[in-house]
Amino acid sequence: MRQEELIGWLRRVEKLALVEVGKDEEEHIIKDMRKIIEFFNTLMEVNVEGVEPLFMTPRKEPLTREDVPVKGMEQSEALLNAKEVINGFVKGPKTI
Amino acid sequence: MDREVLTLSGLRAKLAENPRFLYEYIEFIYDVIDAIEGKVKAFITLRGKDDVLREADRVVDKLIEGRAGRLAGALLAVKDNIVTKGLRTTCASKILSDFIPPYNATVVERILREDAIIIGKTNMDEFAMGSTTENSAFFPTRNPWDLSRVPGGSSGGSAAAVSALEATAALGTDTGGSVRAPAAFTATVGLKPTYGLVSRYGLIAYASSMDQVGPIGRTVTDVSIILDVISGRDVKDATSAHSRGGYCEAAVEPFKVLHPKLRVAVIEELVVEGVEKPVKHSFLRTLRKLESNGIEVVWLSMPISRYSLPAYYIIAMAEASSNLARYDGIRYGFHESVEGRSWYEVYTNVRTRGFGKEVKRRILLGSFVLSAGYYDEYYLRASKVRKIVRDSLLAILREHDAVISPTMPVLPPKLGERIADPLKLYAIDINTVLANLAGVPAISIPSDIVNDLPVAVQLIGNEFDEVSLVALARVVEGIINLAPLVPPLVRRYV
Amino acid sequence: MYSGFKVMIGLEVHAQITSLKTKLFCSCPSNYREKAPNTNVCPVCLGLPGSLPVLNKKAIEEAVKVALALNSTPNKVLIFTRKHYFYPDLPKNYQISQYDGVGSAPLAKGGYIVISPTRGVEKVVRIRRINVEEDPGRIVYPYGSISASPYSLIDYNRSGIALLEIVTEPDLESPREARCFILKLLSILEHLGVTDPKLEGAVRVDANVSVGGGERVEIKNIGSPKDVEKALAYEIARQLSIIRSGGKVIRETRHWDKSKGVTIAGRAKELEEDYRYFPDPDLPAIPIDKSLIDKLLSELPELPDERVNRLIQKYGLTRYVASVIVTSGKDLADFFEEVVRQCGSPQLVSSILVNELLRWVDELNVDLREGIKRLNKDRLCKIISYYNNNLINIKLLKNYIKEVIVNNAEPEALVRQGYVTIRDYRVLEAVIDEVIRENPKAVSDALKNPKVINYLVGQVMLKTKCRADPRITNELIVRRLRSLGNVS
Repeated sequence: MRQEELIGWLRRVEKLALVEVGKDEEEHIIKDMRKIIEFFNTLMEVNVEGVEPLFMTPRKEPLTREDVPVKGMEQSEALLNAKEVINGFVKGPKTI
Repeated sequence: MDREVLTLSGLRAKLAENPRFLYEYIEFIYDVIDAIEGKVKAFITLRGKDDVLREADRVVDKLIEGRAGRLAGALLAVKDNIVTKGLRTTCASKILSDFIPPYNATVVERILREDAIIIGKTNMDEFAMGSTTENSAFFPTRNPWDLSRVPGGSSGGSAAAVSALEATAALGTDTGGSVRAPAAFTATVGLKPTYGLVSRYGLIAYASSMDQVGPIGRTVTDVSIILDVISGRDVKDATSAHSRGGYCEAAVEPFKVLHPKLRVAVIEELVVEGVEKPVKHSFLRTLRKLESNGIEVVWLSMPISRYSLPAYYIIAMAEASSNLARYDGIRYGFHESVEGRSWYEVYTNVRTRGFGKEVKRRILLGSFVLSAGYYDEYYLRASKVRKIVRDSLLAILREHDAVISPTMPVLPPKLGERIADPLKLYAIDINTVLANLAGVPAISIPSDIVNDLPVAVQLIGNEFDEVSLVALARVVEGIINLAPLVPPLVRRYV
Repeated sequence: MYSGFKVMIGLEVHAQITSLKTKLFCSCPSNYREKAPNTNVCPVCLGLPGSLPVLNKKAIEEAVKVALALNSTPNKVLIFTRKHYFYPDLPKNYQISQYDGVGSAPLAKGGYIVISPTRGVEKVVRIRRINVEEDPGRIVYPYGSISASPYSLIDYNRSGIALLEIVTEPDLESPREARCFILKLLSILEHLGVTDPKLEGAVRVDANVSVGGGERVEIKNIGSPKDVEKALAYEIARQLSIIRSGGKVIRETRHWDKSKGVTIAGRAKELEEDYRYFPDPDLPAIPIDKSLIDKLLSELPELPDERVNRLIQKYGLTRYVASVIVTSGKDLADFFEEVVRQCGSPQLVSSILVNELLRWVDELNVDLREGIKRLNKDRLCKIISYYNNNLINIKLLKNYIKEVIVNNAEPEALVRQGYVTIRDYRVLEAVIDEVIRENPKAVSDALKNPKVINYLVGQVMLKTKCRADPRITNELIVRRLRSLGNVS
């Protein structure tokens, strides 16, 4: 991958993940990313034709829940770790 | 401190005769902690001795009345990515540095129900991402066998605490080797159960399709006692499964469950490539000991194992990027004032400042392998390789009692040695990720001391057959005949 | 067609599975409305670290029932997918949903609903897919609107409630058709017992519309079928005016501002949304096997189309009247049948419900259920018996209905107040005399033109508050006029 391509996708992925790499770290991160992506690319050597993907080892009896209500947390427990609360609502940022 | 109470099984026996011995035991543990914790730094949160002594009153009463649980007397260290109600749980991350969970993980409920006392929360690689515990946002933990070296990771704090006699045993978590690696580097026993055997409810997720809670102890028997308590179906975890139970019995009387003609397989790719000479030679010596004790050793090749490491990292990073999306500081954690600011700005600031470097790297790469246009090439492909790995490993396990390998390809590295280059760090997981990808159980048992440093072997067993795995591990442990091992740092306390 | 331009509308209807007692992935109660904020939550629906989702078993049945009722084909397994995006009302910053792609699948694909947008016309609207997913929390703006508030307030009580997402092909061609479709869909869901559409917030609609083959615009989060029709009408007009002035419609997401009656542009999308779908590793796939499908098929209750046909056959109603009764709500159709079972007169009852009850409920802006409660079976049957026994006439009957619904009056009380048909000739003649005295011009007109007699009858009605028997009144007036005519 060319340098510009890598920087391009880094910017895109930063927006997808809402995690930013500082300008001072950028060069270092790109170098590491390049190596790691090359490492990932070794999988291209494997012949996966006709192989079904395995996302989770199979469960013999999938577990589901009965439709019976159970009291959850008290408001104080639910909001215990929220730093900004107004009248029981969690204060959040603007949505536009 | 008597050698006999170094193990949980020994402690239980002693307490059965003399319940009040528990107070002496607690004093002893805290004496050791006072002496060496400043150097080892295994704990992020350590409970005060007075709190623990108060809790011990209840346990002593139950012991006297003869109605104590199976873990009565045990002081357990719990890795700080397992939620404990009312007790700070941080995942060794700035983004959760003040998080107080309002609920207990199921494994915590189960150990408390059996009268264990939780002594503290242990240090780890941030969000379990790492193999040396150097990625903790707070401080690194040091290997009690050599304080200039790492204890392994990501459950480094748990393994160090057990190794340095700061706890009876511990709970760690294993996604790519994070229980077995630190167990190997600290001469303790660490078990990763079959995926689903132990509930993940309350385990702060890293890679959901591979995470498992695993016990770390000084002997195979100790580890099996804890496994009996924590394993089994949980209605709060849809991926959890029934447990056969009987693991402790299997460890105590292994030949009741094993047939006499034992046969283990060595996958040559896990020994021949990238394994340091001293480790390889030690491993070969161990194999000879097994053979001279009647265990057949078969060498075979599993070519796909070469690709297990990239497949593991693609899947783990993808799932991690998803599991860590929730950390935005709004409901819990590292917070920034929201007034007048857009959510985009607030979330980005919180996540950029709250997560450490390795975590951010994995989130970015994980998002990349799931993104449109790359999903097929990376995540989907890795999942197909995973299928091949699992099928190949299960095929081998159908013909052999276990796969045996060195747990780690290197001796415990010095601090700073592996951390600068990510690929160098990832490379030491080469032998452990196989079991996580395939969902099968694996255990690390100390096998040797080389240059005064611990070396271990790993046994990989068939899924949901921990009974056989634990029995075989006990047999191997018996043949090796070193356990329980005590590092020089704390030898004078025994 | 709109002035020669082809309109294409596709709908995404989000309907809560209100028949469940708990949320989709946790055991929190599903009746979250009216509770203080953040008092109906648990670690799972709050997205606390370490929490895990576990599927509500009953949700599987309810969802498959809906698929079968919409002629849609359920997938062999129920798989869940994570859909990633950041938003304050989404606790995990991903939604557990479904996706049509490798390793995932929607609950069901295909299907259709037949609607009748105008009398006598039938149209098939195809369904693309049906998903099961979780509802996010609710955002409240402290200063009323999204733009005026420097921050948002979030309540997670609703987070995790089970939602069905029903997506159509862009087969709809007008706002009216869209409204018809939604009403029909809601009627089906209601008859299945899966969704109660009258619950606040239980149904939300996103609409996609393009005009003349141009870009499609998405309008998000519209609350009612009526609003959908209005929003689409506005948006089509907006797009038409752009096209007519030579411009191009841009592809975007807009919001419906109910108070102003307009759609407004949302956040400009710099980045095409990349949801990074992948199968949720916390939820194993659940098989949907033939035995379950067969069982549910055999247990399916009577659906709206079947019910309409049955009402036509059994009670001789017209298709139009039967459709209105069934589509207005299951409660209304149930009420109709209960009343007719008790006191017969299906034609009369249906006419009362369609022409009177619905009208007053609409004018008063009350819930249909409240209207049915007031005009309950006993009261309605009494009124009908008064009518059938000639105690009251048709005009009085209509007023009785009005009084019962608007003022919660008891029919017996109205009778006691004397609000019955007056047949007494002497009483009527006295009123007629008054009317004749007060309306000399009309009287002389009436002598020449018999049609004017209706005016005089009307005046008698006015004076007697509609109680005068119209036929007798008419006869008496004719007689009076004749005698007057004979005199002059």
